[in-house]
Amino acid sequence: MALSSPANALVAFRSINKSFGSTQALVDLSLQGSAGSVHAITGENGAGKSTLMNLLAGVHQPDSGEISVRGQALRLESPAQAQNAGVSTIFQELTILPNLTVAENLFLGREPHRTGIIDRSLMRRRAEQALELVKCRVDVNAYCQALSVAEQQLIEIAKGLMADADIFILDEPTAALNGPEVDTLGELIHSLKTAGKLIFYISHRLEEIFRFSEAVSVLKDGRLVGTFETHELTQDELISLMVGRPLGQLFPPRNPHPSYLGCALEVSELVTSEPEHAVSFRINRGEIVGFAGLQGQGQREIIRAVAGVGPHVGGRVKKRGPGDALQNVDLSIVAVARSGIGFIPEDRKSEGLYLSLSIEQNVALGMLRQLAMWRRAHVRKSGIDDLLLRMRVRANDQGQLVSSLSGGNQQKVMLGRWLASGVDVLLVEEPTRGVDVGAKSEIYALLREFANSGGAVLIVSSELTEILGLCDRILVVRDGEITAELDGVGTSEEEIMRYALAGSTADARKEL
Amino acid sequence: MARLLLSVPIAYAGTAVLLAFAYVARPALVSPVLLLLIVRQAAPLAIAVLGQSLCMRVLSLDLSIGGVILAVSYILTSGILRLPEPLLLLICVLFGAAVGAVNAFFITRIKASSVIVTLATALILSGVVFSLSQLRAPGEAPAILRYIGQTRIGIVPISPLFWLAIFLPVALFLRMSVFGRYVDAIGANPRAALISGIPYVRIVTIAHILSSILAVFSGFVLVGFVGAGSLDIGRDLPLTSLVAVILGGVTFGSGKGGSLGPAVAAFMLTFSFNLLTSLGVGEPGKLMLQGAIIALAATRRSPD
Repeated sequence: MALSSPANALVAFRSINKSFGSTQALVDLSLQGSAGSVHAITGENGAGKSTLMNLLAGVHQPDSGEISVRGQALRLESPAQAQNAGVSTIFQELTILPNLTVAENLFLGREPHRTGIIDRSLMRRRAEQALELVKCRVDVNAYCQALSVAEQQLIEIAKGLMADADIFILDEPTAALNGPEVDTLGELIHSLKTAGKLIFYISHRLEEIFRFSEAVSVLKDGRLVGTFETHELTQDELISLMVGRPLGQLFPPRNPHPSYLGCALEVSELVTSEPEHAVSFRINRGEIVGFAGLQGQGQREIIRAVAGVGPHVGGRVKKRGPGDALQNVDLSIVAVARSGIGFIPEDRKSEGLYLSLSIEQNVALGMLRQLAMWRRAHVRKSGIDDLLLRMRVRANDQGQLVSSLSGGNQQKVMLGRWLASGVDVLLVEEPTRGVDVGAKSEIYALLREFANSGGAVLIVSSELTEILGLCDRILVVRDGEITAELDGVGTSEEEIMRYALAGSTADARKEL
Repeated sequence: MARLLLSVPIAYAGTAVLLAFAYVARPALVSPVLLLLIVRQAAPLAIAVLGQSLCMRVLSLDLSIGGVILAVSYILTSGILRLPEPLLLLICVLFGAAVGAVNAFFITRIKASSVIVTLATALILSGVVFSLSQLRAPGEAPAILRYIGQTRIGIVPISPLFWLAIFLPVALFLRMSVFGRYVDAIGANPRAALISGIPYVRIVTIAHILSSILAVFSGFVLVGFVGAGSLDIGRDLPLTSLVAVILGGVTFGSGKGGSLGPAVAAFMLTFSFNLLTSLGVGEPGKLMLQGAIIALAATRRSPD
């Protein structure tokens, strides 16, 4: 294939390996991009797309392997070095400083100056030209904190495009943009391409990949599935390349008839923030339900609102109380926990665990949940030992500090605190984030055991395999709305992705 | 083992070193009579420190102690309220609880900095007392407090016993109760405590109310000790209590620690002030010592 021949490659990655701690982010990855083309990089969340681009942008360095630009092997130690090598990056996270004006942000660190004094009028003129390019109509003297996310994103794009570079990295540039803005971006990308630049376009929006790119590389679990000419693929073929892997014995068997045990949690017309849609759903006892969808589609906001941790503007949550009757739950954190709903956050270090306390202290806090504050905190040592044994927590003794445990064992301690607390509904964000495969299957087994003993579990996960292997029922969330309810056994990654991306072309237009 | 040693409050070793030093340099200071006098002198600080340590364990701070004590002194000695003594004491306790509740309200609900809020409270209270005392100057202390502050049983002064009567139940409660566990949790990770449904607002509110009430008790002993009201009373306590809590093993920003360490530190500080005075560097030495300890505490992180 012409597009991958090394002769005209502007950028070449050769046998790149990169790991973060115990997680292998990129495995023996080789890839080439040629001048005058748009090269899309796609894959599921966590496939390694952003990591790969961060290597080229100088943010991270590869553990082994080589990156060459214009046939020359380079070691990019910092973003500044990457910029000098002609790489301009438009990052996924906004890097706009809110307390500076638009013009100041655009020229941050390279302000035009005359004899050491910033030439403000020149800076403003050039800023206006840059904004004209992206058709963004904001005052260059406005402070960026007053701008919408879309406007900030356009400024970010303008800033990246202003750079004198040959290689442009656009990491999910359209997340906050509407249709016409995406069209403008498309025109800009086209003009860069005709000027002989190489554009790496990272996205999991299939629509844009097919509109903008000549070549598409698909990543999966840090490995390259392949590089293809975009026009040779259909949308369905691309989806199968992105997903589709055999699911081993990672997951415990499901509950055949969870609905017989009755409803555990009923959420009606919940609205998390003003423009979002209202969502309604219920979870039965004995059931594990999962929210699937692309990142940032509102799953997290929904589960956090139910937990009382995030904001909600309307709606009602009812939970099974004594005698099987559904009772209203006041959506404040303390009241939610008291009603018997446990919330396990994604970020265990900052939001979940007491790292400087012992395992015993962490777990005991769960066991004491139902006691009044002035009561004696009596916790049986053997009770905690039993729990740790059952959960297979690898620790010397229960006095060990949680900070000294591995990620998987920390995750188990956090889960164990809630399992020991006697709640019957668990809301779990990313149940196995940063956890090795062995601990993963043990955590899945514990969640299933909790469900089998009459509990109800709602999980949010960005790992489709996890949702598919663990959940009895899958709710696909897109744009703050539940777009599909699928049976965990009968569905496939392709089907979920279809609802999570764009179900129909009409929906696709609306999304863009 | 190293961690265990590091987590022992500095106050224990510090007290031993100071006593040994005094035994060599100023043997008179370590005679039983003088030691008991120093213990008596340390009682108000030790009581205030108990509240301060609780606040710091929930990552807050109480600088309003001095203002509360000043107000208590004025209420008790100015004769502005012509009421029976027990009622007067009760009013002081209620007043302390109210101050603590106001502090806690601004800290937990308005999310203001505890340093600023409690400092402001102290300033406002001092200002009010100063302006009122132009009308009616402070007078003699109630008899019951003079008894607590000045009497001794045999050679044992009553004020340390008064401290013990407060310290034991509070320390035991913090050590044994669910409340104490919650305090540790908030100190270790306030965000996690909040998210897991621990009643964060209530815990911090109780800590501040308790701290202000303990400041009132500290004021009782001080007023009784002096025998009369004063506009200088309790001025050093906010800072000294802070120093004692730090020496007692409660670190800034990690909230770890118990109740005994700060109590020992209160004695250690009082003893060191006496030692400095006997060495001829009274007030200046005291200020330098306190400053050095606070600076040290701000740079020192918890052992893990």
